[in-house]
Amino acid sequence: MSLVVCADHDTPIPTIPGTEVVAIAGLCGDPGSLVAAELAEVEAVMLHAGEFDRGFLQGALRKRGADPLGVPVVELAGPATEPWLTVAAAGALARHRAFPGSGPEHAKMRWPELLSRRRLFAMTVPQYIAAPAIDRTTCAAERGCRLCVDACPSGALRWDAGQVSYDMDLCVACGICTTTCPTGATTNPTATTGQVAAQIRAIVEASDVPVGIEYRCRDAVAAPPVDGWFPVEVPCTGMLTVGWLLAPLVLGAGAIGAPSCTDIGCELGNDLVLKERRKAAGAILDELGSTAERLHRRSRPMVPDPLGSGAGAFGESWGDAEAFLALADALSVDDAVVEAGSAGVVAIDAATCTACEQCTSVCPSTALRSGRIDGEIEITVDPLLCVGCGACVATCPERAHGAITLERCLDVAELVLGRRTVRSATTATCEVCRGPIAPSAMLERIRSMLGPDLAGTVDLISRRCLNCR
Amino acid sequence: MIDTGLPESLEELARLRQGMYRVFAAAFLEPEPDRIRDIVAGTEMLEAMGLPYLAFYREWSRWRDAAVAAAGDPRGLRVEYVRMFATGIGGAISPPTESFYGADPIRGEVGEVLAELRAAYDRYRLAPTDAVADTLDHVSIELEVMAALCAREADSRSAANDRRLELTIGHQREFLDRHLGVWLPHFVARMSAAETVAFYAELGPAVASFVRHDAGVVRFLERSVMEPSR
Repeated sequence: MSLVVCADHDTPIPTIPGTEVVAIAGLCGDPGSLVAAELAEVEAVMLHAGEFDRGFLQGALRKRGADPLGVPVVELAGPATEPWLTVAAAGALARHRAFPGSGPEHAKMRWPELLSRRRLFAMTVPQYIAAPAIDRTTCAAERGCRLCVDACPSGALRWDAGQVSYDMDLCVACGICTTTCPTGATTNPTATTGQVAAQIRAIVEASDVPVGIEYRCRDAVAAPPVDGWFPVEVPCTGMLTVGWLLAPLVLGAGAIGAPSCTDIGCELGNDLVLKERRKAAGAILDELGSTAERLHRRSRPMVPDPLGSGAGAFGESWGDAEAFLALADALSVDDAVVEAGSAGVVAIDAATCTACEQCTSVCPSTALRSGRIDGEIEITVDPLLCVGCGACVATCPERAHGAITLERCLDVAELVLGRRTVRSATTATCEVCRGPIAPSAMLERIRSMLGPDLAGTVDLISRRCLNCR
Repeated sequence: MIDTGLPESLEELARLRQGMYRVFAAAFLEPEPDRIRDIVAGTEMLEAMGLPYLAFYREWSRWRDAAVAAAGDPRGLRVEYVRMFATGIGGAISPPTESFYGADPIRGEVGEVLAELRAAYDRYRLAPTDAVADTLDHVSIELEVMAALCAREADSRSAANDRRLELTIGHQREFLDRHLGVWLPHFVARMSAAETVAFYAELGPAVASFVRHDAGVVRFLERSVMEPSR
């Protein structure tokens, strides 16, 4: 297991316990020297920004039998101290070790921009970026979920008859679909929460001083190292949800940087989304009694001390509610409500809800669930899983009567409760076969709709199931 | 400038793709000793054409190693070929024909698939020769069709025949989208589920990875011929 560093420009060599660190002169200009070098498995590479070709590097790694998408490249855009390199290297190695592996379905070729009709590889060799893939077994499209489709800025995703189809040709691999997906079915193997968490934790642990984490777009030009700040690459800063923006604080960083897309001249247009989310994350920090000053567009020289540790309660999804609750835990706040983030508090009015379970059948995140306990229908909600999509309200046939409401907010008191029952309803049973007919509340609703003239019909359907009538 | 061996023009790229399809087509034919030797020679030639710079290299190199090893035991390979692909009592483990995956034999759809393919080959002006002993929907035939279309693309580029070039790339796209690219993943999934020798175990992922990659290449080529500025 080794870290390879380009030794040019008097780059100091970091020291990583348990890892072979190999310095190769001229590596940026000739990544092919990786192939001949006597090394163990290459886990991460440190190269000088603007001096290497990613396509050559990927080819050299492939020749060594490595998966190039799983080997982080730390780009050095200026002089860096040995301690900075050591911390950055520790992060890159941790990210590599958390790499889940990629398959052919993830490799998206980027064509040379100045490709002519008659020439192809005149400019450069092809390079590949990781594109997302959808796990059909966990995708909630058949429940009507199309959150990824609506969020995709390039039209690469389409929902049709309960299935999401994906067109890699149109995809720009920005990762927005992966952070929008409420079930974790859509993933980019190079930017999973597991990897990013591993990288941030390793950076925090390796540093003697408080650290700032700057999310950096894959296509951004590398910036010179700033003491105390470390870049964490993501496919696009537009993919950063409120949960992702706050996650570094939960994981022990003291500050976060999230540059806008316009800073790198990107045409994807995700800037406004990021701006709104930064604002929401700032509002959350304010509400929790921390300071929005921990959140910047760019790295700042001073990094404040980290918050207390709330990482214990922080899972894999990095949902907005999850990050909010973990921060509240870290700051010992047990009473705070903020209208921000993609989350919500669902309430069901027992007087008007007919327990038809439409809401639970469409909930993409399974925040709303229903089950049977002793013949009773029980509808439960876990606000921690709610993404505030509103599908439950839109589907409810009794929404006009206020049977279900969704308040888009984050509420510590609600979140700490965890999953709880919001509706219990009895089920009428057939007098002949003893099988279930329908929720009693639904039959009552039918009775009130049909009125006394059709009381006989209602009596019949209330006593006997469809098969026994 | 580092010499990668990669094609320097789209014409050379088409020749490389043609070679890839041909080698894979041969790998799905009966593994006679001479054929296996030719396959190994073909992989060595293609390897020098910059394959490590293309994403399917990992899967390809595993299969190439298996092919080199298999050259030493062609008899064992023949037994496995019959078990995997040739129809016998109980049928083959992984039938190498499109109609098996895309047609209902009871409803007579096998004939439809073959008729569609015949019509497609007519459109592409490709006629099977007497040397073709398999059905028109056999994987090696379909891979050879793509090889022929790649060869035609290279010739069109060489002759600067833009009209023919556009038509040929359209045919490549159509054939991958409607035929080979649709059923190959299902066929490969069956191959992968079976316990077999390394040559066939690695062949499935290698061909699937290459064809998936090539579908992206063809889409790009199609876009580039549509844009006059390119």
